[in-house]
Amino acid sequence: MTTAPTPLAGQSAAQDDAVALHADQVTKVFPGTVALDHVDFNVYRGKVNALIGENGAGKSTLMKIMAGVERPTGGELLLDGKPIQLRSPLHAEQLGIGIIYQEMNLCPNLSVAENIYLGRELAPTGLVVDKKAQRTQTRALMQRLEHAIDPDTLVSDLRIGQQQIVEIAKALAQDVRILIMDEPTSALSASEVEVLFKVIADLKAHGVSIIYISHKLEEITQISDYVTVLRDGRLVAEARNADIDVPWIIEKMVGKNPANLFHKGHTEVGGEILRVEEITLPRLGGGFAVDHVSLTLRRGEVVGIYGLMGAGRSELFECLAGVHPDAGGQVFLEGKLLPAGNVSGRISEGIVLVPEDRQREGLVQSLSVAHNVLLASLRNYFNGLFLAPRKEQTAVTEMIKGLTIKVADPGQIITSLSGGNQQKVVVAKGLLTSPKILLLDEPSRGIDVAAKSEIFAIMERLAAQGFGVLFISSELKEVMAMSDRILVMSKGKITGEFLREEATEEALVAASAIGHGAAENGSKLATAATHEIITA
Amino acid sequence: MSEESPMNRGWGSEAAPKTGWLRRTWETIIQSQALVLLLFLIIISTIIWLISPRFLEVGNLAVVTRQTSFIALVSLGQMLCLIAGVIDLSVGTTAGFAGICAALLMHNTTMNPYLAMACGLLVGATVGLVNGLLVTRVKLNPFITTLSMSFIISGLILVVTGGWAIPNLPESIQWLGKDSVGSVPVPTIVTLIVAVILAFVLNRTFIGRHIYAIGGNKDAALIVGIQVNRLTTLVYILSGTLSALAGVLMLARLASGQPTVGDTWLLPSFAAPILGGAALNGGAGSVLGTLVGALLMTVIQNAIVMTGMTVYWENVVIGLVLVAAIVLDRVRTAKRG
Repeated sequence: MTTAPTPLAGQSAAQDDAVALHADQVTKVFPGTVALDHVDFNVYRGKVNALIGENGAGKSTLMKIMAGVERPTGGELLLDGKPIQLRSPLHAEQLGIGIIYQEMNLCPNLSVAENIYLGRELAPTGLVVDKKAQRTQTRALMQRLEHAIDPDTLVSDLRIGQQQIVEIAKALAQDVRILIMDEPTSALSASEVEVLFKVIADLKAHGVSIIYISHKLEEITQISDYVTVLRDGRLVAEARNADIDVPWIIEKMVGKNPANLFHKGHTEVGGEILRVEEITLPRLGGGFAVDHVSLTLRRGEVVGIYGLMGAGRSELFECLAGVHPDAGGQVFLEGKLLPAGNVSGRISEGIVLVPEDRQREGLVQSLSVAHNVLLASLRNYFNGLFLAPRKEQTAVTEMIKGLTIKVADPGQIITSLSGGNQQKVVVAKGLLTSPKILLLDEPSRGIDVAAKSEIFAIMERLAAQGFGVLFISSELKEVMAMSDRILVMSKGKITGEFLREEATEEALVAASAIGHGAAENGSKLATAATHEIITA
Repeated sequence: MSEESPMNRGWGSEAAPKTGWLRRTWETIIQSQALVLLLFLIIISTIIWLISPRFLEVGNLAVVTRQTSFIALVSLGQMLCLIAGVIDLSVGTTAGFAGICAALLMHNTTMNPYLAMACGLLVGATVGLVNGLLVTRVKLNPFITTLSMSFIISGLILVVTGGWAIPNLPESIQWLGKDSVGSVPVPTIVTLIVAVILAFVLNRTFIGRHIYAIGGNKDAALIVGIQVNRLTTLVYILSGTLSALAGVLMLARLASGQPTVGDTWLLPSFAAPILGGAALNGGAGSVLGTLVGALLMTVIQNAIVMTGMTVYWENVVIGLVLVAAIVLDRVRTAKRG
């Protein structure tokens, strides 16, 4: 970076706010890498302190140190000015430092109430759990979070968004003074995000200091009071939120001007490649998850599908990819009607799905990068009965180069890659099956800005090569920047279709709320008066 | 807040049951493995009774419940392991070994026979402790570890007995295996007491909930500070002790130390809890379900005798029931996933 570093806290940024927790010259060395290099980080009391950085910038390491999961190699933590050494997450919790993890840390076989009080059961006699009290208090927590989740529901019966709410409730149930939130909104719908923000405001009012980690920069500028940016394990800048804007953050994060960071250029759109008619997917317990959806896709076209969680977008993709044998409707690829098929049938016909949940559906965690890349197309690499290693290698190397996947060695285990690179591996896996249509479900979820723009560049290039690309995104700006055409889904139906030129955020949001009983303004803008619109 | 407010839109409100308590109670019944199993048990019993009316005579029922108690104790130990997400393949041989140790003490020393039986339980607990430490501290795979342990123990049984039974045990202990209170056999009473205590611990105390948590999501349990290793070891100790209890009661019943006791208990120890709702991949299982599962296993064995089939069918049938149990487990997992 060539510009002079922004003045650090304590010197000028914040003289009037007290520091609740301070990381002083914290260093963390892992074998082979320095994850944190003498980082100073201030957590101001009763404020939202955003921690931003690309994946691998060191923010999760810093977070884990503050939560007692990892111990620093050098430097120390000061709680209210006194040095502390955290021995375990439990110890951190005893000191009033709580954390909401990004990945779900819930027991699917236990009820909501049991999860919330796991490890700190309400047991007045010391042994016997007071289930009734836990239930009552859980109900109160849920009310505070404005969610009608029954305390006795098993967590396995909850949707991901609801599970996230339980994670948040779990943290609220403790008396925390400092609360670390690691991407708390990544699984929440716009209206759920609003509730979360209200809760955060409420916590702030009670003097709780929040450490807020998110990839969604708009969210950060909306909610935070202080912003700290990390890059490559070093502190880049700390500033008051009031003094900065999104381009400033991006510049600090990636170290370059973010103009045109991701914006789809113009590509030649060809003839129709995919036509879908009247796709239906019945939902367990009545109704439709996908309700008579028809759409078309042209060669070289990128179509974005926007909607709230549960609008049926993922289910639509699953129907197209042949996941649901009980789905109705017809799919025409290049004018030819496809038989109601299974997944491998659809893959061989040229429709490939890059699923939303990388960890669970996209990758085999225990395999190497190379094996994951080859997973869906192994049959192409047989020499008679046996696999042909050289052919495999060539294909893998080409993909790694073509998609700029950052790996030291294709034999590296997949979990050692950053989120963005893992996502590229999932895309590579899909591309090797030589598809004609690419279905990308939330391709940018949980990856950093730079990786996002790379993923989008890949999508654009694929479209230019004549693929048809359909993608799902819950981020308005992304959908609007990347799509030639935007479809909006709500309650299993397509409720809006816009060309890029005519799409506005307001129109998309309004369309995404159709069928919800009122024209809900689900915008993330704090000004949206969601709560006044109550359905009859 | 109202059900239809904006915050509840999406999946939350739709997932919530729309009808009242009647529907909910019905769903609980449907989902409760134990009750479904009980229904199945009643149907099977009726069929057996139609073929052989002697089946429902008090005398035969006492035989069945007495026989059930041994399988049930071993199965309860296995159930604890399954809930915590581990398995114990040494339950059967541990039972046999505990009985043999107690028998040897009675036969070769002047030790109080009850104390000798307590020593048998201690042997079971020790086997469990070793299993637990190997799995949690040395981080060995539970399957291979407990399988090896099972081999070691069955070898030890042959070493100390030479393959012969240990006869002439004190008559004073035989009431534990043979007597009845009213028409309820003593081993059945012991099993029921153990079951009630276990059910209480599992459902009402934090220790129980933590064992479920470990089986459900070990990482989540670790992060909230649950002593995963310690509790898993405790589960193995309990499994060993419960198996030993079965072995010692069997010793009292046979009035001699038989080296083959427990040989056929391993498969039923899986079938009973899984039939009763335990999951092979951890986190689920109930005491009531396991008891009914064990009863069902014994009834089937008894039916083979009562209906005059050759006893050689027994293994075939038990194997089939276990496969059925695993299929059931598979169906449940698929539904949940």
